Amino acid sequence: MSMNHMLSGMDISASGLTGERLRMEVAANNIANQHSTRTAEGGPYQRQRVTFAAAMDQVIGPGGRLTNGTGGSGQDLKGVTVVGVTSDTTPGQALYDPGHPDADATGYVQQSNVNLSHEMVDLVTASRAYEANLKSLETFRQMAEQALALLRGLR
Amino acid sequence: MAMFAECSDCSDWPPLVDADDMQSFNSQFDLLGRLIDATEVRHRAISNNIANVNTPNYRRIDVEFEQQLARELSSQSNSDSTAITTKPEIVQTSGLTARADGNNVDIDREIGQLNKNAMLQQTYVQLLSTYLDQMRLAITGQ
Repeated sequence: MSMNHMLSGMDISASGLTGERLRMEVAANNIANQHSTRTAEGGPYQRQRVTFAAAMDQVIGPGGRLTNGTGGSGQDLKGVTVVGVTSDTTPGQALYDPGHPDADATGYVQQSNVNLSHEMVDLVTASRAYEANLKSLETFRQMAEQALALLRGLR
Repeated sequence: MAMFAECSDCSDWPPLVDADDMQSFNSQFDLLGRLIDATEVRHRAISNNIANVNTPNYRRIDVEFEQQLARELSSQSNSDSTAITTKPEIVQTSGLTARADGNNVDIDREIGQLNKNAMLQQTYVQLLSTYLDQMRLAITGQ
């Protein structure tokens, strides 16, 4: 068993950390842009969201067993991957503000579709999930240390 | 060399040590090694569940080992073979209620399982370490 395999349990938690951090960054970006009425693509800012998918090398066989020929040693569990960041295309509110530079002919300004309460909920869940992944990483480190301590007596 | 010369066929070698004792000692090592291995695989499974706590339609996975091991050990209790063939197996947990997004991971449960698994691993490592110390004591006498 190579060192890479021995410590690859950390990669699973690390993938979770990366994913949750990205979710927090996207939520922060949404909050920062909640009043942006113009973007490079034209129109108001559209809320971004992150899509996750389980990264597994194996398929689930009958009876819920993982069938990939390796006997399910756990080496093929890869944690989570970020599929992509997509735009939420639902329209936002229109505010009547004729003096605004982005106002249309009728005097309405199209606002972004960012909902602050959605973003706050996203931030909290992402932060909690980040903590959980961190806890898992820390536990793995302790377990590896325990196992390596067995070598301490050998001289 | 003189000792070997005295026993030409060496059929009673090693002297004074009961072969069964030695075998049971080895099987304890084997058993603990496999149990530690299984806790590591289970840690991977739980980590994978935690990493996918926000993945839509993800189904929780767990590791089956101890029950199968107990079954194997009880079936071979009256035979001489002590080799363990059970391997930890990753399975999807059934019968859990899924959230609206089709995910059935409960983060509190996972953290609980994570701690339990880590403590089990600690127990096995301590036991193995004690066995190693005993062995060392027997070999060196100090």
